[in-house]
Order: sequence, then structure tokens, then C-alpha cells
Amino acid sequence: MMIHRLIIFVVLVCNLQCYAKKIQFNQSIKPILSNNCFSCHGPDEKEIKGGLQLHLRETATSVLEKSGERAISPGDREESSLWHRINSTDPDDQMPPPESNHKLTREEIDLIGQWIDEGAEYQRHWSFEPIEPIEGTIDELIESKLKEAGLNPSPKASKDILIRRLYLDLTGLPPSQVAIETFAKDNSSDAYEKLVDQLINSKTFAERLAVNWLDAARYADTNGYSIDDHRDMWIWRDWVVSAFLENKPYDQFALEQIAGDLIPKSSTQQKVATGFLRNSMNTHEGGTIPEEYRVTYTADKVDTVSTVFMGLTMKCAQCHDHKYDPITQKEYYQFFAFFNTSSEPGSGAINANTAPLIEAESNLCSIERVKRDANNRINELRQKRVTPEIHLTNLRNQWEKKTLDSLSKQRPNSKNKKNSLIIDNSVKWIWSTKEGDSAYAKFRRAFNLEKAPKSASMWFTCDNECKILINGNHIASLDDWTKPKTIEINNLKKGKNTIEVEANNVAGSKAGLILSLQVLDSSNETISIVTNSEWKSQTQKNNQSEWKEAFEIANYGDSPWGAIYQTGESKSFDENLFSALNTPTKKRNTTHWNKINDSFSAVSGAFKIYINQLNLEEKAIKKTAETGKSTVMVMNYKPRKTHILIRGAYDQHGEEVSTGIPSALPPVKSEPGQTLTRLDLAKWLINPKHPLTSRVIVNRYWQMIFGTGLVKTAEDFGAQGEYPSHPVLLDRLAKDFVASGWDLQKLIKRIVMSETYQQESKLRKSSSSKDPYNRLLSRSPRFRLDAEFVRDSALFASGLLDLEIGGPSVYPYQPKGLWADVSHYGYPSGFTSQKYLPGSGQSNYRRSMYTVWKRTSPPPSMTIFDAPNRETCVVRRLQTNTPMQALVLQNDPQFLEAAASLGNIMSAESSIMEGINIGFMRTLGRTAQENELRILSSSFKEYIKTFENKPENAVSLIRAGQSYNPKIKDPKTVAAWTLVASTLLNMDEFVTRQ
Amino acid sequence: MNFLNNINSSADLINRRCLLGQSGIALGSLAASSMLRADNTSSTNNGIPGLPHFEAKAKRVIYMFQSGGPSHIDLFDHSDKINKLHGTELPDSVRGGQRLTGMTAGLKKLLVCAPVSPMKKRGNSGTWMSEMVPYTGDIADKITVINSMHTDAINHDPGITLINTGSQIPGRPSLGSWASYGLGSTNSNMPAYIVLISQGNGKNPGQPIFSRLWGSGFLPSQHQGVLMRSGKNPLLYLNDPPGIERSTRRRMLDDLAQLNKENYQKFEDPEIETRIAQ
Repeated sequence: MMIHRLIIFVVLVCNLQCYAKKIQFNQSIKPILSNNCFSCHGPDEKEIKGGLQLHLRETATSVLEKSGERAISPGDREESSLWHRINSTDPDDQMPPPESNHKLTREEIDLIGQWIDEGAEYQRHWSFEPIEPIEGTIDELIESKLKEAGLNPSPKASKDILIRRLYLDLTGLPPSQVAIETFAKDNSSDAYEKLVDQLINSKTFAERLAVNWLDAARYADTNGYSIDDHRDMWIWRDWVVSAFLENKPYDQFALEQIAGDLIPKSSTQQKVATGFLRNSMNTHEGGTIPEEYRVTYTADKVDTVSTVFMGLTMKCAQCHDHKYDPITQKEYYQFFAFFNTSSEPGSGAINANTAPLIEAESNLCSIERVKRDANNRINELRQKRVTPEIHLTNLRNQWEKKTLDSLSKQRPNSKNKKNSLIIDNSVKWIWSTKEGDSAYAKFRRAFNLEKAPKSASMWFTCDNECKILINGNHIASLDDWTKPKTIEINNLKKGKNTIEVEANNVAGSKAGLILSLQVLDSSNETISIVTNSEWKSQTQKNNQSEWKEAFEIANYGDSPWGAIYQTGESKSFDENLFSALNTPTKKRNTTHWNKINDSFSAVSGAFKIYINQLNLEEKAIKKTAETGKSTVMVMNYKPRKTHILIRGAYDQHGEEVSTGIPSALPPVKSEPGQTLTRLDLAKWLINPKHPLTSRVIVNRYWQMIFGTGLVKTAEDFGAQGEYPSHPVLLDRLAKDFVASGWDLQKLIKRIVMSETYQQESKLRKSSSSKDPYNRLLSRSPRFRLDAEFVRDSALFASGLLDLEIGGPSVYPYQPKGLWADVSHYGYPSGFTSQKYLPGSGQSNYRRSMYTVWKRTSPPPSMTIFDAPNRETCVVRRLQTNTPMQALVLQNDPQFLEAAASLGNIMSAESSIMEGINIGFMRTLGRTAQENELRILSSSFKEYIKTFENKPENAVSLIRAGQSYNPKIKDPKTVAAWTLVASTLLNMDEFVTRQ
Repeated sequence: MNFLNNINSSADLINRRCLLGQSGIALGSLAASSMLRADNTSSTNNGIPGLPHFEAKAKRVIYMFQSGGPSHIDLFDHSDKINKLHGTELPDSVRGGQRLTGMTAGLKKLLVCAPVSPMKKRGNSGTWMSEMVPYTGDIADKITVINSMHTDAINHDPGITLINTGSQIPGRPSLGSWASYGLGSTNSNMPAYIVLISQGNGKNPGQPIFSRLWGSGFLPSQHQGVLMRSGKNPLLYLNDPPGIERSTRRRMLDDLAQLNKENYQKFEDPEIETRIAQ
């Protein structure tokens, strides 16, 4: 313990020496005041205690009414009541007060004292200040800070490290062996630059940039709230990738996403861009108050736009003035008003996109390609009818066997033809009104028997009760609709017969009658009478109304009555079912399968739900399969008044406001009386003089490449955000970025061309004690790849990755049941995206960014590696290192299949050493070292022995995925290589950019 | 409201481990991490980043969220008056302007409804409980019933999001994440906390419990719950794949530890050490 404390003390002192030379308000004082004082003495007018506001020099230094003292007397701490209060130990006097749970450290108190003595100069919040022209390159500005701290940069990293770093940072994939060898051989002075140019112009680069943007834009394939059914926003996602691919200037990129619909004569793709705003979650849960949610969706747009483009936490001002930043609640709602003008409803569409929407083509792939993908998906879904999930297949097999046995016995021949009842979905629930909602109904069905009846039986039930008359005789009544009756009928005659039913309903519930009558006549022919629209009905007693055709409300087995009221197997002989079941599985056609599945659905609830899900999913993608296009949700303009919402409550309207910009930010140019629109807002954001837009985005690309931004809190450039580690560098990059025409490729190239970027990442003790977080960049950082790139890299290394770009989202392997566990799977009316229906073939090997994203159950191998759930805007992923991640790399079938595939590649080499080396090249971009060779080759030999003892284990292991080739000649060798490959894929170095 | 300033998990880890590394203590085994964690159980406040600055009183938190239980009026929330008012129009003073859901807004009358079965005082504490929960009544003195809970949310999704995260609008950390963030853990070998859900048999689950309810919101993802599902394989990816026996797995893990150690010697990055420990 003593040792720990001692060292902490040393580190703190050092940090103070590094940063406490000259007291700057923004850097040193404001964070202390903001964290500890502003909640009572800050911008929120309603919360001010003792009349003191410390966020402005004017109010902080004026004489306080109550005490006649000054909180801050510039130049003299002893004359400043603040100084005495923060030093006090008297609980009544002490600041911050004990109950606040805030406490200043001695160092913080001394800093404030020194700052007061030095004149208590305030500075405007740094990120709101204009960006001034500055001199210096990245390396000069980094090095000057290093020098101040007494540190040196690290030496340049080796070529093999550099190429792997570049590939991972810029494309999210490791380099291929060919690329590594080409780069190693290229001794020209611009070899590195050529490589950078090549990568920046690649499709994989565009996809890599898109991944971060999808987080920021909370992109997903489901609606998010409650039922969380599917939506189609991939056309927008393709727009994003194509924008990065063509290097669309960032100002245009922003403009189109915020207001593409309002650009005069806007193109379809410019409208598609506004899908950015429509990525908000939505709901159609019953009981929703639409206006409440319409407000929520609008607030989400405010949060997203302010965070993504300005690094401002505007959402904090939704219910009250911002506690730390100069944003009043009124200003919040003025900003809100920009987005409050769309026809988007509060209650979303079911199983579909919610208006306003347009139909559009992908900007990235051809109509033919999209049609092909959608049709492949439909075929996958259809195949699932033939081979459903294993437990359903087992259930169906049992039923098939039993049913075929029983049908074979029943199969009629001329000798033993018996009477039997038809109870299947050809029998309908009927009522006298379309909705089944009248209180009374009378039914009539007349039919002719050409020959004398030998016997007859009838099955029926009615919701809620009924009385049945045949040829005028009352023969049966029923008052519990959950207990259908089967009775023998004896009073039928040759010639005309009539069935009449008088039925009653309970007010407010849905009514229905269902009946099946079979008559066996003297020549052994069966005549069937079942309830359907051939029946007549009327709604009045005493036959006062007209007899009309009865309405078919539902098939037997359908909701709301369902199949649970079955009376056992159908007693009639079903020739079609018999012949379908009698056909060997491999020879069955679609008609056979449909007949079998329909019949099994009528008796198995689980199977019926499954088939219903398949139907819904097919329906959802059918249009795309036909047209090669998809709808996408977009913005439109519909004037609407905006009010301040008191305490943020959707129904508590305060003062009416119109669109406007917070006064702390540069004003927007407008004519008097002009109402500003979203287009004006977008143009204001991309004005080159805007202090936030360029700083915020430049910082995020710095963060993408170095793991941490120059401002660590990439999501917050306000008072509670972090002061930049290199404010001058940040401004320099932002200024040049705007001057370059907001050229992202140029910005990224500039960063990776720097010497700072090309340093080694080895941790040096001298610098780690002075700069434990490596914020000064005395070495290149080392950090784990983002979730998507961990999986993509494994697929790439194993030769499985399919680099096709864009298109509808895909369904790769996922543990069974994850969606169904947390969804409305099995809900009677049915919703899309309630059960994960894995794809086949190439959909398992596409880049992870194309994996379908369900917000209430995102892909586990992504969230375990810290991907956000895409419910709200995220511009900074936090990194963790947990045992769950090791389990994914070891046991996830996707990674096992990758190992098996890589193992197969390694097994083709002529020696163990070459096998190991090819594995190293493909995964780590280098050859193995002696120790590594020794460890792995000895294990390899051991594995071979293990599999020789148990050859069946070898086959089970390498059969991990769909790509398994059963013709592999020597499974035990491939299996042994698979284990070596799996070890490589589990190495820290494999998942790390270093 | 910015908690992110105070936390940067990997940086904290670096710091903590750097310190140990520099003080000459060898790293690279589970023992090291349990040593670190052992600090947390000692009675002193050690001020190490990532651990709470105060001693946690609670050792464990078990939180059960029973989605779709009977109403408080039927179980614990006793009122003499409700029986008298049964069947009459709900007084405005009770509703207090509370908004109605899209489902109830169409009703012509809002009637008071008494509990379906009588209430009794149970235990020495005299806690009111329905006769329908006789066994819970037997342990009345061991539990605390809080009857003052209130919600602004009037629908399933926002309602269960509110009770589990404190806000009906998604994006906030769940109760478990806060417990993990605020109290830390005495065991670095286990997930921050685990989540058991009772659904998952493929039948219609009514109101499902979705991942947001145990998510970490804006806290680092190490504070998110690890889902243990019902059935034979509760933890995702825990089981060895077919064809890999324990002894083989052991060998692979030993190799991996050695290979990672080689790399650690090159880079001295403490994150590698964490991966070795796993």
C-alpha cells in the first residue's frame, strides 16, 4: 500500500509541474468551477444561490447585495470572499457545501488563489472563440509540447508495423501478404505516401469511415422502441459510404444530411441524405400518446445534430437552462424549432418505414445487384420452410410419421369407406358483419342431397353461444365456445335440407361461428358442408333484415381463436396431405411442402408462429426483390408552431418561439422577419467561420487514428468537456481543413503522413511516468480494433471475407434465440425482426458493418467488443478488455470457421515452419520468431497426436461453418492447424493496432 | 452531467498497472489482479483510480424486475378508502391530472377498483399485504415495501426503461451499471454483474425485457451486464466447441499466454497483461 501511495503522489506532483506554469482560466480554473460551483453559481438563472454567478467575470467580481463583499477581488485573494469560503472548514461557511459532495483539493484551492492574485482574468470558452491563423506542422506542435514536458518522440516504427497500422487505421483490415511484400521491396522515397494514397482511395477506406458515422447517426435496421420491428435505412447507409468514396466535401456532406430536402431542386439522393435525421428510434406501441413521442424524436434530432456537428450537449437544456454552457432553455427550443417542422408522426408504422419516405436506388450498387440480394434472401427464407430450425424439424418429423401412419390406415378403399369430418383451414369462422362485432346473427345454409344419407356427423363451435336447427328441428346448443361439439345427425333427407343457426355475441368482443358437416350417402360418397361465404346471414331477430352473404372472419386455426381449440386430428381423409407425406423428402415440391406445413401449422402453435415469421419477413423484402429499390425515411417541411416545453414535458406549452441560434454562437445572417429554416441552420453550421464544426470533426478523425482525440471528450466541447491537450494543433488542423475545401481525405492523409503517426508504439518507462495516458504522444498509441474490424480481420486473414459493398443488410451466424428472447416473437398478429433467421452463403462473410442491427438485441460479437447499441448518438466508443472478448475469439462459430479456413490454408504449406509463417503473415503481417515457432510447432505435433487418437474430434472441429469442405483429405492435419490458427486469432497482437 | 470526464477505463488501467510495474512488482498472473482488487476489500480508502473513494457497505446487490406482475393495489398498497370508493368515478384529487394512455383515454368512465382480495397487516412491522401472498407475508419483517414509487411513463417500453435506467428515454445506464460503476467489484475474474432473464422458450413473451435495460448507457461498456440465458448454455460462447477437449484447450491457452508475453516484452503494454490474465 505504501508503495502505491508514494507513486501516486509523485505522479500528481509531476503533472502539476507540467501543466501549472501560468494560470489560464480555460485550461485550469474553469474546469474546477464548472465541476464544483456552476450547478448553483452558473448559467442556470433559476438555480442561482446567494445571487452569485461565477461563470462571468462581471457577476463574479461585483459586490454582492447580501454580504456587501466581493466573491472575487481581482489581484487580491485575501479580499475575496470566495477564497475564504473555499478554505473554510466551518460546515455553515464552507464552499462547496458538505452536502454537495463536492470537495476541492488543496492543489485546486491554491490554483484558484494564484489565479485571483494574477488578476482573475476570464476567457471566453475556448471552443466558442474564432479559429485564428496559426503556424506549425503537426510534428512541430506535438514536439514542442513534448519538450515542455521533458520528453522525446519515439523512433520511427519498422515497415512491417507501419503497413499493418496503416491498413488497420484506414481500412479496418490487415494488409495482404502481397501488399506487405510489395511495400517491403519498395525502397523509393515516396513508398509510404504511395501506400497512403492507395488506401485512401479504396472502397474499404470509405467503409471504414462509414462505421464511425453510423454510430454517430445511430443507424440501425429496427425501430428501437417496444416491438422493435424492422425498418429499411440501408439506402441511406449506402449514401454515406458513397459520399466517403467520392470524398464529398464535409460541408456538403453535412448540408445534405441536415437539409438535403430543402435544397432547391434537390435530387433524390440529396433527400436520401436526410435519412440521417430520421434514424431516430420510433414506436407504435399501443397506448402511445403520439405527441409525446413526436417530441422525443425531435429532441433526439437536436441531440444528434448538436453532438455530431458541434460537440454540444444541448439536450441538457431541454428541461431547464444549461447548467454549464451558455444555452438557455428558450434557445434550446429555438433550435428544436428547426426540426419540429416535418410531417413525421408520433406513432410509427408497423413492420415498415414511417412516412415521410421516398423510394430510391442505392447510390452504391446496381438495381440488379439489389434484386439478386433480395431474391437470395427470399430463397433463404423459403428454404427455411423446408428445413426449419432443428427442434421444429424434429417436431414436424414426428408429426409426419404419425400422420402418415394414421392416413395410411384411413386411406379409403371401396370396401371400408367411412364417414369423416373435415376440420382444416378450408373451414371458416363466419359472422353477419365484416368485423364480427354485432350482438346477434342468424345463419342459413340450404343444400341438396341427391341420394339418401347413410350417416352424418357435425362438428361446430361459436363465440359466444349458438343454437342449431336442422330442417326446423332444434338439435344442439352450445354456450362455451372453447369446447366444440361433435354430434351425429339423423334427420337429413334426400332432396333439400336446411341448417339454421341462431347466435349471440358478448358486446365488445369478436364473434364467429364455425361448423363442419359430413354426410355419407348410400353410394359411399361424402358430401361436405362447411361454414364459409356460401352461407347466408342476417343481423336481426324475427327475420326482419335481408339475408346476405356471411362474412368470413378467419380461417380455422387463425387468430383470435387460434388452433388451440382443435379437436384432434382431422378425421377426414386428406388425399393431398397423404400424397405429400408419401413423397420422399428430397422429391417433394413447393406444393407438397406448403400442404405439409399448412397442416402441421394447424396443430403446432410453435410451427405456426415460425411460418408466420417467415411470411412477414418475405413480405417485407418482396418489393425490393421486384424493383431493386427500397423506401427510405426522409425529412420534409410542414410548418408547425414551437413552444418552450416547461420542464421538457411535451404537453406543458410555454412561450411560443421561432427558429434561432444560441446567442453565444456566431449569429446567422437573415433578413428582418425571415423565418430561418433547416437549410439556413445547415448553411450556418458549415460557414467557414463557425468555431465548432471544423474543430469537432477534425478532433474526431484524430480520435479515429490515435484512439483519443485532442479533446478527449469528443462528444462535449462545452465547459464540462476536456480542455484540448494541444489547442494550437487542433485549431491549425481545423483551419487548414476548412481552407482545403473540407477535404477529409487530405486531412487524414496529413495526419498519417506525420512523423508523430509513424512512431513506434513501445512503452518507454521514462515517458509513461510523466505522461501515463500518452496524451502528449511520445509514442504511437496501441489500442484494440473496433468490434467490426476484429471480425473483419479474422475473415480476411482466413480468406473468407467477401468484399462486396453496400446493399440490404445481411444475417450472419448468431447464437440461437437471442432475438426471440427479448422480442414479441409469437405475438398473434406478428411483427418483423422478432426472430433471427440466419442467412446462408456469402451473407456470413460480408464486412460486419452490413450485419443487420436490431437495437434491442444488437449482434453480440459487436457489443462484447464495445460497439454501442445504436439507440442514441455516440461519437466515442469506450474501450474495455474483458474475458467475454476472449470467449468470442475462442468459441464464436464465426471465429472458429475462420480458424478452420486459415488452418486449411496453413496445411497446404510444405513444412510446419512454413505453415506457421503463412499463418503469421495473414494474421499479424510478419513472420514468426524463433520462440513462437518453437511453441506452436511443438503444440502442432501434440495436436496431431490428439486427433490421431480421436479422429472424430478432428471432423467435428473443422466442420465449424458453412464453408467446410467435406472432401478434405486429411481432417486431423487440418484440425491441428485449425487449433494453431485459432491461437493466432486469439493473440493480443491480432486484435491490436500497434 | 458529464461523467465521462472522470473515467477512461483503459487509461485508468494503464495508470494503475504502470504504478505497480514501476514499483518492481512482477505482473502477468491472476494473482496480480487479485492483489489489485484486494485493495478494494481492505478497510482503507486508497484513492486508486477506478475504485470507489469510499468503502462500499453493500457486498452484493440482487435486483429482480418482474415485468407484468399484479398491481400494487392488489398486493401491498393498502387503503381503507379504496374499498368504500369501489365502483365509483376516480376522484380528480387522486388522478391529479395524470395523463391517460392511448388505450384508456377512450374509456367513458374511470372507476376506482378495490383490491381483488383483502389485505392484512403482516409481521411485527405490520406491513400490509394481500392474502394472495401468504408466503411473502411470512417474511414481512425481512423485507421493505416502498409504496411511494411513482412513474411518469404510461406505456410498457418507456415504463420499464424508466424503472431500470431512471429515464424513459433510452441512453442512460441501468441500475446494475451504476452499482458496478459506484461500488466496483471485489472480483476481477467475474463480469461487472450478471443478468438472468426468464424468457426465451420461443413462446409469446408478452412484454419482453430487452438489452437496453441492462446496458451501460454512457458509462464504459465494462459496466454492462452479462446476460445469462435460461437453458443449458447460459453464457454465450462459454462452451468449448465440438472437437476441442479440455486438455487441448489448456494447451492453447498456455501457448497464448506465452505468445502474448513475448509481445508484452516488445511493447510493455499493460493491456496485453490483461489479456494474458484472461
